[in-house]
Amino acid sequence: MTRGGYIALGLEGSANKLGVGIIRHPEGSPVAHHTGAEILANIRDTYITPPGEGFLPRDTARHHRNWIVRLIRRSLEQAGLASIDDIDVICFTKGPGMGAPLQSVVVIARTLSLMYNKPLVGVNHCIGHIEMGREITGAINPVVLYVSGGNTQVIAYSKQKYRIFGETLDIAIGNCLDRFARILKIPNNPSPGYNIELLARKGLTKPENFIQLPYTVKGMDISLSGILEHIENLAKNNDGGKYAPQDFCFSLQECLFAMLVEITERAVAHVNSNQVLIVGGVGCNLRLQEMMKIMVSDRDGSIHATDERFCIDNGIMIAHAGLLSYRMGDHVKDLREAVCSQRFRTDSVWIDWRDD
Amino acid sequence: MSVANIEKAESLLGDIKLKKISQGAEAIIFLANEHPYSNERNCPTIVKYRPRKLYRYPVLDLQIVKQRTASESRIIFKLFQSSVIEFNKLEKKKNSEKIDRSLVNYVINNGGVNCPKLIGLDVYNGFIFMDYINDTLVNGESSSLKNHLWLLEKTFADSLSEKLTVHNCQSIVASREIEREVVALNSKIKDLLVLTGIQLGNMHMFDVIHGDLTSSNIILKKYDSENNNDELQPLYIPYLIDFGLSSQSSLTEDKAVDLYVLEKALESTHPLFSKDYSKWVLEGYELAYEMKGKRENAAKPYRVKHREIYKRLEAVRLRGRKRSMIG
Amino acid sequence: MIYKYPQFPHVQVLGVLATNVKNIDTIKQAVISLDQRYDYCFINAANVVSVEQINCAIFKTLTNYYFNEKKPLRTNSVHAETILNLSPNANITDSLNRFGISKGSANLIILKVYGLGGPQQRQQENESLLPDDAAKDLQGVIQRDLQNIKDVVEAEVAELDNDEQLVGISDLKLIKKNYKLGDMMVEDREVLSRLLVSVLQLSDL
Repeated sequence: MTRGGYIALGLEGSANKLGVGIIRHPEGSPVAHHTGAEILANIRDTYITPPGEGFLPRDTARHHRNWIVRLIRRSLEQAGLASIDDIDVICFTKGPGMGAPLQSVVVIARTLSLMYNKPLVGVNHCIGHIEMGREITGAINPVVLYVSGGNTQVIAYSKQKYRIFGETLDIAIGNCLDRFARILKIPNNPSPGYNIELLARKGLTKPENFIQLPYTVKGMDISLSGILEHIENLAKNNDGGKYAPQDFCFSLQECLFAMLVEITERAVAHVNSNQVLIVGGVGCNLRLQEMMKIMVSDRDGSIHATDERFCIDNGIMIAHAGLLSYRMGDHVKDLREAVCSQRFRTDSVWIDWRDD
Repeated sequence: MSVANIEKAESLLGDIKLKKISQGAEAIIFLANEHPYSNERNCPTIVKYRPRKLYRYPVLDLQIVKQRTASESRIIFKLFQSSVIEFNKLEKKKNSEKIDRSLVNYVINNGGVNCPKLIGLDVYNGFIFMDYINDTLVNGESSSLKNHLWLLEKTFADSLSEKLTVHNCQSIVASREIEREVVALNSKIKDLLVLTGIQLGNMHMFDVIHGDLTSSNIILKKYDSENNNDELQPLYIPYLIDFGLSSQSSLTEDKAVDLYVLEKALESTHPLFSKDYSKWVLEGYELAYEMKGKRENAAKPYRVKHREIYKRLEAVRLRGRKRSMIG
Repeated sequence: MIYKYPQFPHVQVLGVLATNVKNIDTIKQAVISLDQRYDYCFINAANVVSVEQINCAIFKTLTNYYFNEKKPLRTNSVHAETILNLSPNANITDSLNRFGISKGSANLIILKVYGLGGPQQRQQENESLLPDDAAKDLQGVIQRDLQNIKDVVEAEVAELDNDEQLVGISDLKLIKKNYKLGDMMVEDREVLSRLLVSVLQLSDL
């Protein structure tokens, strides 16, 4: 413990965003909630591919390897720290995510840990999003909708676990949006999802152009592969140019987001909560936030969302969640444990820092 | 859900007086005292209302309300229709035996399912009108399986603690009393749960998945039969209700998950006894397949079907609800 | 018997059973030629097992009339629509023939719906539109119509108020055939009524 607090370095690279964050928990600050964390640095670089292409693990890993040292240096500078010596613990994304990119980040973490003799903590990516969301918005016990390129889950906390109430039965929503963007060659800069959102905001060219897509909510879960196939076919056969890109984007968003709000509503009714927190890259989408707000207001509740600094994958959330874990006494005891894993379910992590 | 929704329902239903019974994420259930169109049949009717969701694009929203209203109605009709067909098959076989034609006996040996019958629907506004299935327990609560079990569990606990204060806890007399209490409790509950299991088996054999099996969605109705001499312990027949999340499917996976959902629900609502409860429900479930096999002289195929589902249920238990997540 | 529908308080329906009808052909001709004296809904009673079944068809007519924005009526009158709603299929000509006045029908159920205008009029707020434009006089109007029915239909006419009256009139074989019940067919009239009502509510969805 240095300078009256704990300082953690967080390294995130489970997909195409490489994030480095440095966070400080004041001495004696609560771990369960409202920690009062200070963000000392939050730097990110995204590996962006040309329109019509997705990112491959191998290339993404290469991007991460090329940028990580630079980003770590920049973040130390931003935090006003001289070197890694000033850090108390190194946190890295253990999973879930893509294999090669995760791996490249773990290697750095292990190396730094050995070089500077610092403890290591592996963090579940989803827990990172959740804990950062709770910390930034101040929501104590919300139902969490976690939506990103690789994940789509509705989560509620109960007895030391973040339990999954509903999820996608096949692909994640961000993945669905990204793949659709490729069909229409929507640019990936800054992200395909953001560009879909901009197009959707233009609205339909005319009301008749609303595209009816299969609405596949199955109980507390959703299925997205059918919708993707349907709209991909429509887009490919749209030779007559009947539908403009904005028609596709608008219709797709309305359908997908309605489904997300519905399964969130089911969880909210089930656990009798009235707070909703949206985390993950897709959570930046203002239309999604708007729809969720309408649902939650109808139940006299409130919605919490963060901006792109925290919604989109970042290192600071890893640092924060890792530090919470570290303060409860968890860290890697044997370097062989410092590995990553593509599969890592949110509900398999023991949340010992909460007391409710 | 807001009061606005209730007011909207009331305004759309003219003079029908509504009493709200329950509210879920998607629908509100009301009780009305009159039949929506046949005034000579005044009977309590359930009105299930799916209000419009303001967060959805209106065209999409109307489509969803219509489709779900229609789908749920079709499913409860399918169960009724299939039960009648099964009953008719049986009737053809029996010669001169007197057959009780009351609807309640479509269950058990006749391969049917007891559920509310469709009275009317209004897809444009999201209303379904159906039978009101309920009875009242001795403590005034509605006769859901959940309430009935809780009542029995509590009575058991009370009687047990009473006995234990009378006798020395370690005495042989005490342990015999406990045993007797347990056996008495079991016999009351076991038959009920086996009956429930049989209905679930019949339902799955009609390729209908309930989607939300809990002990609150099983209602017990008192059944008057000449054989029942015990006035204090009426015979109960279980009815399945609330098909809001149902679907039609022949997949083993879906049927296994349906049973798993019930197991989990029993675990969380009746933690002390759920293991036995689940066991008895599954006994009934297996019995349903056996009886169907006997009725159709095709014992083996049905046994195989059952085993497939049972094996899948074991697999579902191991992995939890979901297939494991990929990054 | 006046049928009322709590959801649609301004609508009332006169329901009458005519047995041993002698002038079927006359009636059929008159209806086709839109003779004002025969402005009623004529239903072949052999297809009907209960009052609930009739009311179910009317209920469907009312629900569509008020709430189906796209197509409030598939036929061009509320009476024809009710006959169509008594049929499990959407083929208008076929349904009118089978369920309306057919050659063989010896018994008819006759209905008159009060309180609905034609499609154009349904847009207006005041829904109680009667030929005489006097809602208070409805009872009088109904009595007049009842008398008129007795005049133009050569048969024993009685108000239809309970299912007992249909025993001996319903032709279960015909019902089984027209509703394509097959394995579903039951002899118990109560159960049969429920089955038919479900079939009707779910048809054409």
